Amino acid sequence: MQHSDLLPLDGRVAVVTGASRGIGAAIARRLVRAGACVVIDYVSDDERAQQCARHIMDDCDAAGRVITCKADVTDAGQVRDMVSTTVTTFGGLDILVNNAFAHYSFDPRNRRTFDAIGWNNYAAQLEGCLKGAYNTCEAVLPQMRRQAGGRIINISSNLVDSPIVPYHDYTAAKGALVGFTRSLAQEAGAWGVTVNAIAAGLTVGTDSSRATTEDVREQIIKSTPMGRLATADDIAGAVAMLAGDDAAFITGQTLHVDGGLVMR
Amino acid sequence: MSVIDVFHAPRDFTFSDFGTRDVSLSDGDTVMLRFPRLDASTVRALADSVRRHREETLARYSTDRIVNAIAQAVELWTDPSYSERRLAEHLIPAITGYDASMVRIELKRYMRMFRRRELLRFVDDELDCPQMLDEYRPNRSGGYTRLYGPELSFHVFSSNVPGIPVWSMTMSLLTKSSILGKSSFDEPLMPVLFARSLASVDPDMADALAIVPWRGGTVDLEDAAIGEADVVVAYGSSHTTEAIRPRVRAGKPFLSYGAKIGFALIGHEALRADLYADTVHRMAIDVATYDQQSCLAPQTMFVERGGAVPPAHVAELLACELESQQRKYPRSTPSEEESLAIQRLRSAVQMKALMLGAGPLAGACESDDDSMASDDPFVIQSRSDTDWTVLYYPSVGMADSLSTPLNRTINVVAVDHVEDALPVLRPYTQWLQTCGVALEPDRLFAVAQRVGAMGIDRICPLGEMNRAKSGWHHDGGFNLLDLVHAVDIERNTDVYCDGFDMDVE
Repeated sequence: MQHSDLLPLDGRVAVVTGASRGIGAAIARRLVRAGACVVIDYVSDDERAQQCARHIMDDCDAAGRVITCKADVTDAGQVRDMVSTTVTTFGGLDILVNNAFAHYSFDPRNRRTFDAIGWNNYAAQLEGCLKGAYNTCEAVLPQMRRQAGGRIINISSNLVDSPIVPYHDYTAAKGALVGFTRSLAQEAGAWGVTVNAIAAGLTVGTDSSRATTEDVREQIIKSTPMGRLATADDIAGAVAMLAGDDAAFITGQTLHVDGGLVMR
Repeated sequence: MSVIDVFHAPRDFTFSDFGTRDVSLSDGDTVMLRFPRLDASTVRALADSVRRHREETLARYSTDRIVNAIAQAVELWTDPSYSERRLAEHLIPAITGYDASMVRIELKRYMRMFRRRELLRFVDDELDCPQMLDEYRPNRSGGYTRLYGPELSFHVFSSNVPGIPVWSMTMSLLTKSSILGKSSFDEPLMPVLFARSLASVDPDMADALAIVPWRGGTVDLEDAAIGEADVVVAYGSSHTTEAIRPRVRAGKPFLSYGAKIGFALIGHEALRADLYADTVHRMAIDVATYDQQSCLAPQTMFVERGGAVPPAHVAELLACELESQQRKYPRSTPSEEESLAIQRLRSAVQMKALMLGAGPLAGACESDDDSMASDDPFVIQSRSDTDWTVLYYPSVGMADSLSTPLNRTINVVAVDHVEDALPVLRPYTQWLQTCGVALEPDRLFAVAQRVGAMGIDRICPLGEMNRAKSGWHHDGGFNLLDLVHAVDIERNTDVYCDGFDMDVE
């Protein structure tokens, strides 16, 4: 199947978790623009999810290519139903973007120090991030194997490599996601499935980054070669790249999308 | 444009009329293949010529000398810069459509099967006393035996796998037979290049060989050759071999090597977590090498349940491996008819899956536990064209046929025990030949006993199905013994004759 340069993901089907807002919504929009059919997964706000889908369809002239699906990624049953809906609606499933995570606020002033943090905080982050990714991967892999190929893209964070502010629980969970990515990539390669992670930098305009203080923002900007913070579109662009044909031979990698703040 | 002669004849034989064919090469060049135009009288004259040259050479040579000459010719092919090898690597992919790297690697492996130590294996495996090919030697019943090969063998070469003619030419030479070979226009080169290698080592011996291409089924030429020959050896489709069979007079040995169906038996022990990737890789190599055009290739692979990965996953993994093989060694382009057959089979199995309520979406509906997964037939196929196709059947009864339209089209059938595959092989007895196995040693011989009784005549490691080893009893026959006849001097003849010795008392 040849894909035109204009619509590099034409005919592909993507599920983006946590996609009713922020980075997830930007990813969904970007994949739709590239030609894909997209399932917007969300966990609570029906209204916001439908609005997001409508906007994307209107903006991208993509009627019939976007659906919303309410599923808590920490619930294996709900995830399986979502995958089943996706396959029956669009006839397959080629791209999975694990963007959902347990709610977190990047608030440097009110962050929990190690003494104050409890295992339950770690557990909550691991549940949202790692278990969520496990559930979705477990549900989509049978389909991808049957299709002899697929793309899994996990959204991690550059805090794993450079914890400028030590958000212990969040960073530990995102670090676990990187290990999960590499190990799964090792096994899934045999089925033609690539598994990669994106280490996002602090991204402006998201709910989680709202509490990030100006001085921390400035500090990050000062250390960033590109001299600014990430936008949701920056992350979405990298996702689209990893989902496209040009990235067919890239797997097990963590791509830093943070303006060069972390170089590895 | 360079001209390549795709024929070989004794040095003192001249043809009067030639035809040509152009072949376009991948680098944009074109070469012209030149071959003689033949009539029945030319074929008879050729037969007569090689037979005469045999009297002067092969008939007088010792087996050792012949082995050494062939070995020296084969040794030339172990040099990557050898001109004939380079020609083969350059032209055969263009003529056959096979991927160039695959041809290079397989040909290299293949020719090494005829090095001296391997030739000795062919001879010693079948003959207790190879010198019986040279002279009368004592036999076990108290007399003497000598083995005589045919004066002239007529070979009908096939085109499906480059290099196969080297095998049958070698066997005839070892029996001191002159050879009249009919090559195929679809791959006329390799037998001629090998004859040239022999000529460079022993030009006199090579005068006992003639290789000429003509269009298969040209009855007057074939009948002339059959009439002249003492033994007829035919390779090709069953159609080809069966067309020749009735024209060979009763009593004249006729050896035919037609279409066969290969199988693989994959035990759960080969699907351990640390082994399954290698096992699947080997499966893919067997399917991809020469696009299953060789009679050695598998068409159905039976995969046992109980390994770390269930048979359905093995089928999925095989699909990905075939895609990798396609990138590495792209398949040759099949005929329109072959492509249609593949498309038809794909649709039929997809339809069957739909009827069973599975459909193409079944993969997404699997439950937590893979062993509980819905197990219905499915098809995984290349995104483009008919490059490769994996057809999965959850039970032996579900596959309509264990043969496939080839060209990298493979059945994967799940079984609880590999032994369950054996009863379904029975209707295919006359087509059975190679069985690739991935089984633990205890099971190897038990399974071999049973498949042997069913008609399989070659059991080999998975991943090596297309690489028969030297000495293999091709299609269950004997490489040399089937070509020779024995003459016995009976027990006591010598003692009786001693009586005519004036000095014996």
